[in-house]
Amino acid sequence: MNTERPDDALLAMQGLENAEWTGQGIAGLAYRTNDRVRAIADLEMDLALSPADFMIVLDASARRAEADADSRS
Amino acid sequence: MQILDLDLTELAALIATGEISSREATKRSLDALETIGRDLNCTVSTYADEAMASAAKADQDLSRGLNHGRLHGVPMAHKDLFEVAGRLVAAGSKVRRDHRATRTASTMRRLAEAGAIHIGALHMSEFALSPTGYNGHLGYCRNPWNRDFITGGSSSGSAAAVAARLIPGSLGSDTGGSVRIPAGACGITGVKPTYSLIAKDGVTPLSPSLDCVGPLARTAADCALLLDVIAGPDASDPLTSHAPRVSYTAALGNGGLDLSIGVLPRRDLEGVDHEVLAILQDGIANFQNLGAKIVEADISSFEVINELNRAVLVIEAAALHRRQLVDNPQDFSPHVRGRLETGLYLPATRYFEAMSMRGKLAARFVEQTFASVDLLLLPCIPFPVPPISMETDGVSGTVTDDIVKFTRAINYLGIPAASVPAGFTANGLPASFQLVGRHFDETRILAVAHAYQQTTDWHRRRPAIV
Repeated sequence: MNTERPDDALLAMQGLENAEWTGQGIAGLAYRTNDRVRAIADLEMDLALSPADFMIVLDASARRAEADADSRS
Repeated sequence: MQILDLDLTELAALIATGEISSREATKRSLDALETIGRDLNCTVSTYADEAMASAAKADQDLSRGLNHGRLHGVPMAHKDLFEVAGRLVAAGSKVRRDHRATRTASTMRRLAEAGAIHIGALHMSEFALSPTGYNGHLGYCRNPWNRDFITGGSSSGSAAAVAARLIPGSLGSDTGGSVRIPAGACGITGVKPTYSLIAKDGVTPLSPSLDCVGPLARTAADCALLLDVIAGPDASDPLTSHAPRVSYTAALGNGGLDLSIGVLPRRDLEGVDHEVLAILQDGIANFQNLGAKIVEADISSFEVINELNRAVLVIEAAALHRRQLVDNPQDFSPHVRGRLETGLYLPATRYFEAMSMRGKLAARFVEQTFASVDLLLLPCIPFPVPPISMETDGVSGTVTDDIVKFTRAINYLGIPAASVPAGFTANGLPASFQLVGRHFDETRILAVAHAYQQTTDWHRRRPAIV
């Protein structure tokens, strides 16, 4: 796994330019996660999507649960 | 009568009728937390004086006919991340070791309003960032079934204390399996509810978009009782859902199961240990005997969704702790710093993508997977509970990575799940399965888990140390 210290400019953007680097394979893990999420986004992402969609899905589910509860009572 | 042997429902009933005093129950639990709890390293702190005063008041009130609620006089202790005004709440960390809460979490308030006595704070992974229960500052919490084995985490102390009969119930939090994994490893019942069902104000966050508060107790009925008390809209947390408050205990029932349960085809169980598979098969046979129809279900998208959960989790956690990472990096354990650092190097575009796709992927998963089944039955921990010697002090490795294989995606999808004790592997440690449902279908999950527990006694087994 890639354990090299990330680019100094990237560290500086986080205020970590002077920070000690743990070197626990973290850079490799970040690259792997980045690549996998990007690959999923290549397939699934589109302009119509928004982070608010999830709460809308939950809200619709809550309404359905309420209707189900009403129909049982 | 052995008070500590009583489950939450039994103890609450006996206190309510005056057969057991709250003082007696509270004293027993306090003593157990200070002895066995210290030995297992599941106790962080106890509040003996305040707890005994509250218990005395509970008894006095009851003698005057004043019952404060369904948990009147019942002693409980919780994962050390629930804020109670005036108390130290460190979240298993060195960074916040001196953090004194200035507010009280809604969940703690609701428990208190229902009469529960808060008697202590329990071990947890540092900032809830290890699914094995490892904590570099506090040391390992020990599994009551065998102290050389992990408890799972991050709600390690909650699971160990309930399993060891120190307390009848506890609240934990779950961001990728942190209630279900320790409940599974310690042989108790744990519920990760639908995202937004339970208020999270006053709960130290790990990843606010994924975090859920959940109960750990011996039985599904106990968890239902705790959900009755803590679930539902709360003005203190505007993100809580406005789903109607329902009675989870009223929905438990006692009859057969007229529903379908989805199980995984062989290809989706690759890598699951043969002992755990055999225990799953026994569980499936039990559900068939109860009348459930068993059908194959498809969760092939789980691996992809696990990765989205990981991205959201590490980015949000990194943002929450960035300032401390800059100022006091030495106060974090190396594995926690390492995980947080991962989040610092992922682009904001990945975060936006992961969050934007969530609604679409959650809706699709629910529509497709639950089109033909009412619930899913999944492994909880896919291998026998490992010994502490196999753990890698929280650093990413086989145990840390694989233990969340069947739990992590559920937080991204926001759906509810319960881990249910289902047997023991050859090493003498408990094994469990998960029951997973649609959003806000906790009533069905708990009813099915309860029906299973009426015909099995895995949840009644006691560790030898008790």
